[in-house]
Amino acid sequence: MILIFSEEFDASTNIVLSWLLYYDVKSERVNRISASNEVYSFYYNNSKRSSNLNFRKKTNNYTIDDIKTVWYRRRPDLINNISINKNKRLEKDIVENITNECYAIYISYAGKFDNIPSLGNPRLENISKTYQLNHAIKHKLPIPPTIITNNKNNLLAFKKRYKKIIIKPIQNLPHHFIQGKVYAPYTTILSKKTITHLNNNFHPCLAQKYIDKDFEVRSFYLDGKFFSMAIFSQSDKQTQFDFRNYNETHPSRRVPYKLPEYVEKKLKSFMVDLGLNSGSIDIIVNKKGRHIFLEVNPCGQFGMVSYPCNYYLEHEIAKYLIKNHEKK
Amino acid sequence: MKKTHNYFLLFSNCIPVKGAQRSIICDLQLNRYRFIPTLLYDILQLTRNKKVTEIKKIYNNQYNKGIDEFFKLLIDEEWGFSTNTPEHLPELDLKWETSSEITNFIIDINKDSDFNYKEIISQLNELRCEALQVRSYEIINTEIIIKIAELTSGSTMHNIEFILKYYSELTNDFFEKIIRKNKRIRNIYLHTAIEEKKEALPNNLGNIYYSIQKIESESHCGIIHSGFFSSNIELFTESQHYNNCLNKKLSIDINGDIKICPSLKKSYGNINDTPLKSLINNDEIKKMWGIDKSQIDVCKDCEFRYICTDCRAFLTDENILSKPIKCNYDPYTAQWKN
Ligand code: SF4
Ligand code: SF4
Repeated sequence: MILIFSEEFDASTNIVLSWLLYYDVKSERVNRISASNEVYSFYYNNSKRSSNLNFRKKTNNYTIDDIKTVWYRRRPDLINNISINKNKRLEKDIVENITNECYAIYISYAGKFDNIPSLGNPRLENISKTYQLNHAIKHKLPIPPTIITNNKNNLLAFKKRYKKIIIKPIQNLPHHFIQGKVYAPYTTILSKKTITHLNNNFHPCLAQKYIDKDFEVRSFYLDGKFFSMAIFSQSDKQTQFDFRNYNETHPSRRVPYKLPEYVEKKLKSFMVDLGLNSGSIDIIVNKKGRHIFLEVNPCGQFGMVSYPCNYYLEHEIAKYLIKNHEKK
Repeated sequence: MKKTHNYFLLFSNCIPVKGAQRSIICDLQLNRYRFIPTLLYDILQLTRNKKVTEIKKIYNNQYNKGIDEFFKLLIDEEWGFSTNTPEHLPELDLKWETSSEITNFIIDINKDSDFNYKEIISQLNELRCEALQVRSYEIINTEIIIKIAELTSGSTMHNIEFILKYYSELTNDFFEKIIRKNKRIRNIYLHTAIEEKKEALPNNLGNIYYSIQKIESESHCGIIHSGFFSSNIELFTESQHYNNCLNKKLSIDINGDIKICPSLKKSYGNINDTPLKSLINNDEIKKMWGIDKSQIDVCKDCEFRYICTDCRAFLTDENILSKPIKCNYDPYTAQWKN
């Protein structure tokens, strides 16, 4: 059986599941940890004498030996929307507690499944950008000059040195839904004027040298293979900094790309060193053709690479998952 | 072209297709196409392996100005770009795959049709069918529509379409109510209506298209028109290998007879006694699914062949590989009749 942790509305998971059915391979999808009507029970025993895990969903009963592969697609929704207490402040605290508790359970699953082949790793879901960049340097991948600072003079000096700089979130931030509109964090140019408006000290921000790009590359890494896509932002001003912010009527051009072999080699050793067997890698190719590493997102979307490039990545993932599997 | 760049390339999702008289470039990302002379089609076949200067030489430097102008135009209109590393921008793989045993199903209903919808939908789920079309030529009970909407709401089908004969109970409110419960229902077409109009349901629940046209049987189907052309990866790739109307399609006609499409004569049994599953490896059906455009008379020489849908039910003559009779285009003269 293939165990899949995902979210209820993740469309990519649906397509992979359909491929698993096509190959007649059994799988169980867990969208939610904590009490819910998606009934499953589990029993976890970690005593010295017996280490055990039982897992039951609807009428199917599994022990850890039945699980041949685990796919950590997405962190499951941790809890249902609950309404516990009229005191909103208290309710928020309780929800937060349960969320943390569930997260710990999710992580302990992962600990229990250490010897089972898996795709993804929940413990590496949130590796910080700075940690990634240090690793990139170790593997001789060019990165943009980067600082994190809370000080105006540092920021001004950085700007003076590199002329054009950008700021971006230090960690991947969630999108905000406010009055029917979506607000997503994105990368933007930092002007001198903005800096002069800042106090001497402020909340720390991550700044990078602006790279005059030829195009961007989004590469989905799967077990040693790269499925890459070039993104040519069009002349439109809006898309020049971050393609996520693109203008619907003027979308950027997305086509298959083959990374140079020496870049793939370095990226592969980088991923292996981090302990990631899949992830979505962002790269900028500058005007001189240099490939500059930006970041890797361990549970990144692959649908946005798969469809435009006709890669059928959901099929590739299904094939990877059933490698360790005999038919039901 | 940038001065420092030696190569011109079309974006790999902008693909030239050669016709008997003229050619087109199909932009599979932006859903558009543009005509090009066949000379340019031939030149575009060379760009991946030859520098622009080398291409010019092949034509004895006779067309230098024309080639420069064309490439510039294609870059300005965003069909292509210049580069020094064409080897890193591979062609689009034109494979087409599906994990479904059948991808689309049609149910034709008349007032006397009496189907076990629960059983049919459960069979479709098992085959992981993706799209369902329900069509009626006579007034059918609203209960049937509600029932189908309910049965498909947790199903594998994520695209459900109704083409129904209009009558007074089929109101916007009626459809709003059922679509609210099942958002997989995308489009509603009502024929034999009192007026021609398109009504948008609130909250992006979709559109209802009213048409005064009277549709009395399945013979309305199969119209080929440039307004129905669609330049996208799915249709373009499927058309390379399979019949882009019939591939992975099964249907039942008003009597419950299982056919590839209700307009085709051949029946493979009745839904009451033949499981759909027993037909998915039927050689004859698979052969029909596999009639791609390169096998069809006339279409095989038409520049629109991968953005135009096909019809295998209404043909020019007896030959199953003949051109759809409802198409008015002649690729040899590049003219549409009337
Ligand atoms: S083959 Fe022709 S009649 Fe049959 S569904 Fe396709 S277009 Fe309609
Ligand atoms: S000739 Fe064939 S491919 Fe061309 S428009 Fe007509 S039906 Fe379509």
